[in-house]
Amino acid sequence: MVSAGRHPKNPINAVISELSQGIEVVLVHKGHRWGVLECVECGATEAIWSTPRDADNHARRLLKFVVRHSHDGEG
Amino acid sequence: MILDRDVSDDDYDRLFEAGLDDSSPGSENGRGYVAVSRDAPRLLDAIVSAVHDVVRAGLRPIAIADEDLVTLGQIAERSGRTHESVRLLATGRRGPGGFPAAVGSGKTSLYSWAEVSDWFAEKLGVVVQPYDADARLLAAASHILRARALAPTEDLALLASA
Repeated sequence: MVSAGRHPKNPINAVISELSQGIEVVLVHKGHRWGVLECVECGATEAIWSTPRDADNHARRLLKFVVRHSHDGEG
Repeated sequence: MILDRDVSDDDYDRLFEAGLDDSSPGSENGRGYVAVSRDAPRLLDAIVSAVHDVVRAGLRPIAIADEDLVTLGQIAERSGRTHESVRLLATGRRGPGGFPAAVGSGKTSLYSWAEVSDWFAEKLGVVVQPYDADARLLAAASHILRARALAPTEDLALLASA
């Protein structure tokens, strides 16, 4: 799915702009959460911070979620 | 870190403000978790500080699940090589080639540690040892968290000193 917004941190945008069809970005904009990644197949979610301590590490975390939820084997 | 319940809307901000702005809370199968990536002098320090932060946020960690995905930097640490050396192995410009494929690109490339450690063993005849110690510590920490969720503190203290 197409991500529905641009995160202020470039490394995070690099991850959410290359999502497979099975992962969606849901905007939250509440408190410290900019949004969440959501797996369409199993419903799992993981928070995307607006101001993570380290954007590169946070981007790697989100990529791990994407890989873990490649249920059909595609990245 | 697996939590004893699902995360609520308020939990996210509490976790961030308790010091877990370097981590990612989430929910899977109705169970909350916090995916932790933390720099610390030792793995033990990272585990202890992350557990403290989750408790300070009002949640209870009950287990730790290890994960298989690593960066080139982590591969370098675990194999005792430089980052550049591992990068050259990964691109095939050095060594026997056939390095396991990465996920992602550029600064966010990740590799399966299971595949990479197998490659080191099969192609280079090298068994990468440091990870075993880390895996054992994480397993021990997870067992302790599970025990704390099952039995009263005073009983556990007696068991620990038996």
